[in-house]
Amino acid sequence: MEIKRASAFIIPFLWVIALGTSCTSKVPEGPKLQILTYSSLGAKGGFLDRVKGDFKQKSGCDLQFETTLGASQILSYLEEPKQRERIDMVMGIDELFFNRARAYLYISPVATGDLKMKFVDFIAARTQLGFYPIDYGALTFIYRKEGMKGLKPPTRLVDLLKPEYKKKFILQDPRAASPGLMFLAFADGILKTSLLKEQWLTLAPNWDSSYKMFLDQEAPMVWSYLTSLAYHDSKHERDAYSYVEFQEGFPLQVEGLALVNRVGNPLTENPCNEKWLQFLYTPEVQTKLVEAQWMMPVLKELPLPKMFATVPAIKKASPVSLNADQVDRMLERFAKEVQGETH
Amino acid sequence: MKLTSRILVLLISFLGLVYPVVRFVMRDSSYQNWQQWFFESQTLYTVRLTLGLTLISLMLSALIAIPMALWLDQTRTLFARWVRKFLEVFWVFPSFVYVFLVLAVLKLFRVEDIFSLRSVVFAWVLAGVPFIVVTLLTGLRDLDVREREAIQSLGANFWDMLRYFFLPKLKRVIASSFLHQSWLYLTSFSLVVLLSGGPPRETLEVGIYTATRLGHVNYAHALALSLWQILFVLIIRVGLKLLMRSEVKKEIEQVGIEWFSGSSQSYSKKILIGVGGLALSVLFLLPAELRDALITGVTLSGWVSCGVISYALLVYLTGWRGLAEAGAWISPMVLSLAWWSAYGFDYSPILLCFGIQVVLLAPWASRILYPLLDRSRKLEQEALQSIGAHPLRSWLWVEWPRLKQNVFWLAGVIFGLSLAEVSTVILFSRGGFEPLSVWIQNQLMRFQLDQAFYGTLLLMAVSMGAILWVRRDHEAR
Repeated sequence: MEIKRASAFIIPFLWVIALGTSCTSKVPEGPKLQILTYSSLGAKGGFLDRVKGDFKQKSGCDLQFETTLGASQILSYLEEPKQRERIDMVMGIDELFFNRARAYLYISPVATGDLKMKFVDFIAARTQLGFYPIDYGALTFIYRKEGMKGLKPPTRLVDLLKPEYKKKFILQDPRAASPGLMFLAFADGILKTSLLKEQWLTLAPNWDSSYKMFLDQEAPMVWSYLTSLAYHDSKHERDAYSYVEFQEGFPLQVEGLALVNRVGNPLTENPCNEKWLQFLYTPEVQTKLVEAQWMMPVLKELPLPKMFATVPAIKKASPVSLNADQVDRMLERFAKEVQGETH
Repeated sequence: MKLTSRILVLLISFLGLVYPVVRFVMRDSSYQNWQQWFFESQTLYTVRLTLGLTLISLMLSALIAIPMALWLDQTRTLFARWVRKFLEVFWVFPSFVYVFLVLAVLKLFRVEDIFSLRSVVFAWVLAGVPFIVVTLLTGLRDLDVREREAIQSLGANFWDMLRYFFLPKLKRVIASSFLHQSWLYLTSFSLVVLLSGGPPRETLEVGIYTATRLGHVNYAHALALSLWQILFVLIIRVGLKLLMRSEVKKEIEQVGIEWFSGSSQSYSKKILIGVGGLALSVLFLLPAELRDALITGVTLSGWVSCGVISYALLVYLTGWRGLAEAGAWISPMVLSLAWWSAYGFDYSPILLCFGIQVVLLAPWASRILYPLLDRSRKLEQEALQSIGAHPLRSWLWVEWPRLKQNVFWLAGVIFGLSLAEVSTVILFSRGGFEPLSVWIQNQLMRFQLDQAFYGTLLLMAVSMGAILWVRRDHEAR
């Protein structure tokens, strides 16, 4: 009875305390930088978490970040005016996304030294005002050799429509995940969605889940980054995995960041923006980024981690359409075709 | 008293429903295209798919649940008793549980195409059967045994009994349980996202999410989809109303009461204290991330269960019962979006989720509490008041002992429902605010099945612990 009486008092009391503490927002004092990013970059133990302390020490700015499950969700956040007011920059977006979200981003040069000169040639050749590349990677299908027994890897995109590849590969939902959108752009004009939809095992909501499904042997092939092989090398299982080399080449995805456009110049409004850009392009930080993200570095003279030695060189890069209107139209067509409408 | 409660309820309804929804709809000009989206092929595809899946799942659930309920009603074996107890607990399980069950069963039978609509139907049936069985058992208990025996003595076989006795007598119970189940299917989110295999397999709730969270925000499309959702509920409700007149909900309202009072097993206090101690030790052993998620989820759900019951009682005092049902008309996703849009960044996320869930779960409380409140013992209360007792004291003396079992039971169920709620929380989840349900959903979205499974077990343990706790209270008495 005493226990019951005590619990009748203690439980509501604990709830009051818990609600009180949860409602008390921790407002940091001093300068801060608010980043909106996707889950991998902002995960516990992920890149941003790893460099947070260093950045605070070097710049005096408190690094805060919020995450979405996939890069595409960042766009819907940016379209919400109240959200834009809170965010200084978006990180982990690719060029396709950048072009679609231009209206909300700050398209102006930032004085961070001669960045372009530091970038690898391929990145330097395609820099856009307002888009700050942070890493890049070639996309293709990664396959498990054991799972492909008796099955030759496809060599052309149209091979994916062959009956032997039915339900043998996992893609990402192009509306939700940037690699999935890259595939759609890469295959646009070559593969019809209405036919392809019968072939894929599933359209995963993000890259993380697609790769985990692949590792759990749900399908022998997954649309991923060529650098995934480096990850397998680090696990001493490089021999068990290989990659598909399409005649059409490899689409290249460049990940970057952009400042959110608000009233006034974001660089003068919040000096942490520029401090972060300077911090980000130092070799030490770039190395940490490469290690955390398993992507290729954008800085020219950065030594690659040992595991990246097994990542094959890209023989042929495949251009993808970067026009925002084209991407939107392509997604609209995808939504219709996937539901059975043919055009 | 009545005036104060009316003012309060009007204020809550305005802040909780009218203001956010109107603001959401009027936020920019995009909503103006909703008529165009209402009959757009994409919308109609989603509508057809949702309707088809709902009907198939309901039919399959009925095919399994009706014979099962009849069997359980007539069988007195230990096995049947355990099946019954299991189903009574199973229907309050969070949707994540069904994901694991479906994946496990399909893998066991080496089904290759796991991510398909078939899996969604399978999961929905798994979710639907226990609820329908439990509801039917309650209805069966109220049937006239003499009448049943008389028909049997005339030589009626099982099918005759089913056709001429059980189905006509139980049609109200069946229909009202279908209403509840349809709403759950129409607003199903996590199950469809995880098991359907992605587009084009989107139901209405997932469609609303896609329209507003993936890529460019399309409020007009989201609005059109949510209007279809409301339309379906309206059709189902009107149909039931016409079919059953005013008695539609009577039986289903009894589910909780019967379930509660039908209990015969007693629980040892020592075992419960032991389990509680063990749970606390496990809490400290959990990884920090999961522990935080659990504490946040339990805090939110605790407040929601108190808030929902208080709100339902407040609405009862006003006499405007319909207001408590308002939450059953709107998509959880749309209401969350409306709140996100109206208050999203000015208030603490836990407060916002609390508010949304109170509005959305209030119908559960009203359906169970109001019939009980209607049977108020006014004469006894008046007698007490005539000898000088304060109205509140007379209510506490006369009514509270009668009500408290069900209030506690209801609090436990709402606690469980809130703990498993995803749609209303996912938008507000950021930084340090990640309740257990969202944590599990995020693990599932990354296909981290082992972690999600661990989280789900924890969620089930906590939610069942809460229900057993209130159940023990009753049994002790």
